[in-house]
Amino acid sequence: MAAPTTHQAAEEVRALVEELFAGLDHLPYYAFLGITPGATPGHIQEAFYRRAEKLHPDRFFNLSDLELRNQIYEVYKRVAEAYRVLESPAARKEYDEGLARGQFRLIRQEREGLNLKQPDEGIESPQAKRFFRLGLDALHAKDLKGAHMNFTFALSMEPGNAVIKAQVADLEAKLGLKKRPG
Amino acid sequence: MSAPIVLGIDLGTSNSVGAVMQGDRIIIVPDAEGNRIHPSVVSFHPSGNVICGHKAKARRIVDPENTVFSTKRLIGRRFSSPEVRAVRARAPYVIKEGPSEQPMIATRGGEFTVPQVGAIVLNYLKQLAEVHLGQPVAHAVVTVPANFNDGQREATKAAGRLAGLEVLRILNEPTAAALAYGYGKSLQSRIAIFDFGGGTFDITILRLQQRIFEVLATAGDTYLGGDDIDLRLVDAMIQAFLTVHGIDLRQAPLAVQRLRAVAEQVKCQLSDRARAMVRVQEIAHGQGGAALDFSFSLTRDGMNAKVVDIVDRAFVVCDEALRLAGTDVSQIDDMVLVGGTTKMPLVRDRVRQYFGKEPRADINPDEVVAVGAAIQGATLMQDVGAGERPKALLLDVTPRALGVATVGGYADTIIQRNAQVPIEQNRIFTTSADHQTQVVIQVCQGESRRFDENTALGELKLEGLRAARRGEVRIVVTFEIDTDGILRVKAKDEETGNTQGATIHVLGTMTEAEIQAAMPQDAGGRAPGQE
Repeated sequence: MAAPTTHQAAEEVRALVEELFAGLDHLPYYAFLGITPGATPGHIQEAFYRRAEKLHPDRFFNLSDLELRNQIYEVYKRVAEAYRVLESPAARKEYDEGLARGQFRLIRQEREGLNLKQPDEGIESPQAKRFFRLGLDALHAKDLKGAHMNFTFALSMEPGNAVIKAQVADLEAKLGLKKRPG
Repeated sequence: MSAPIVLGIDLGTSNSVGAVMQGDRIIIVPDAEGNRIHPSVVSFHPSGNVICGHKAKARRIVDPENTVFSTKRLIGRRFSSPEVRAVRARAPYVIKEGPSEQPMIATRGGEFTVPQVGAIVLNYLKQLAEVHLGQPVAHAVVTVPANFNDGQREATKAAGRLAGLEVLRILNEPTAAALAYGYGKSLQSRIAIFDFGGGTFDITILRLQQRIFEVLATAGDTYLGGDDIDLRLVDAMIQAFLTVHGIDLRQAPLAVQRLRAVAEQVKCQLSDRARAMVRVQEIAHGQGGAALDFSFSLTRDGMNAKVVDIVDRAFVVCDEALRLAGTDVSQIDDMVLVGGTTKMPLVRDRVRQYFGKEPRADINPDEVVAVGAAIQGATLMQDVGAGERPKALLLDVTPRALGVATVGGYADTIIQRNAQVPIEQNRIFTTSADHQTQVVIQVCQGESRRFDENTALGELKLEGLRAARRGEVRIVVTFEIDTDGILRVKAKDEETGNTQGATIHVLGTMTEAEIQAAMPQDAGGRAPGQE
């Protein structure tokens, strides 16, 4: 039986995972792959394969220690991310520049607000929009009745609008205005 | 204590195969007649019995309205999608719209969601395995085409659960094939898996380094399969009959159904011989009600000429996969052929021409995927002695880009196509209106710049945001694709660290509540029977 060796290796994995998990917020990609910043592309692939053999979540599919399993999963995702970035010369260059400024992870700058739908998107009439906004303000102030009134006004400006209807129905349910069948 | 048995299942459009690994031995699960591949067909018999496999396939001709097939083309698809419309136009069984925009199949046995029909096939394989092995089987690895999207994967997983199986992994079919090919061989090579099945075509390029199987790229065409070849032959037959008898068989769904079976026969015969001849009795009635038979003869060259354009579409996809993998065709050391359509000599010839070498001939294209699934199942169950090296390690990719809707109808890519899984990408969202307490983010799969040219997956809703001036609330949304290729989403308020509720409702498949309600032996759920 190779029990002691297995045990040793398990402890080694645990120590590595704990170290890398604790470093998720400050360790550079190089640490996750276990290489130096001067590593050649060949080294990077080799290092990734070594890490994958050690840390891939599939290896710990049946591990009963759920906390450790979760840590392994989080660490492995970063290992794979490190490989993905460092493997591409262009991305690696971008990463190294960021790293010099203290950014340990490559996250591209986002354009703000662009990804969101306006809450009043889908409402055509300016009047309906205005009352709808007032309704939202009332809702924010926890004034359900006021909100209901404003949304109902909005709906009368633009009858049949699904966005407004949904708000009205929601409030009617909350205020118990709707008669329940049966 | 030995690890539990894991059933590897290739749930195919036309046929399904089950395999298990016992020790180092692979067993393909046979039915009572000894068949190793089982038609993915479910027939609802007038007696109330539900029939599966070969016996069900035989009922396609006598009871077409209640014999359901090719449902893999429907799985995870919205009722309004072109895919569902295409199946509805051809299928002799009734497809209706059900809840969550999913297609429902109406038969004399009742109405079923697509995962429920899939569950019947999976349960059939489970039972065959249990009978053959003489022990219960509760775990499975189920394969899907590499280009299956999130909804299709979720729906397949749901089918497994409804069949009473714990699905350990949703595995890409070509990756499974690669595993079956390279397992235990300690190879160092680049291979191409050319997977031409009944309903879809996939090509996957892998780098093998001893036990590591790294997928470099995968590409596919979900509209390309052996069924298209059958349909082309059916068209030819209909045309021939029209010319001779002046009768359009298209008006007779039953006749078309019979011709489909004949077309498949002709195609298979022409794999072994140069000429096929078939005679179909009483296909139609002529003047005065006289029964008309139909004779049809076709040479292999004749068939090839009719379908070569279909086959050649596969190589456009191959070009793309090689480009994505950064690999030249000359760097491919070996090609593995998967799927029934690769048995056609025309396909083999074209593969040989394209890759400039002979494809592997020692691999059974019908069984290789299920074998790979069984190997993956056994590997996952391998005892986690951390000192032991894994027998095989799959490093797979996500076949599609994941994006979100932005203003003006555009899509912003969040996760690139062919990125290795598991993967996570963060994106910061800010509110765009004062007091905005909820946001809806539309999520899609695909690479097009325009949102509506991609496949809409569903909407991600973030609720309970801090009410503040617009732009003040910054939410970090983490999009994650797990090892099953399934999307998970987390959201966190950057300033407060509060985690937001983030749910994604994937359209075209069953909701969790619907699955729970449909679970057969779920102790917590209501029993479907009434007393």
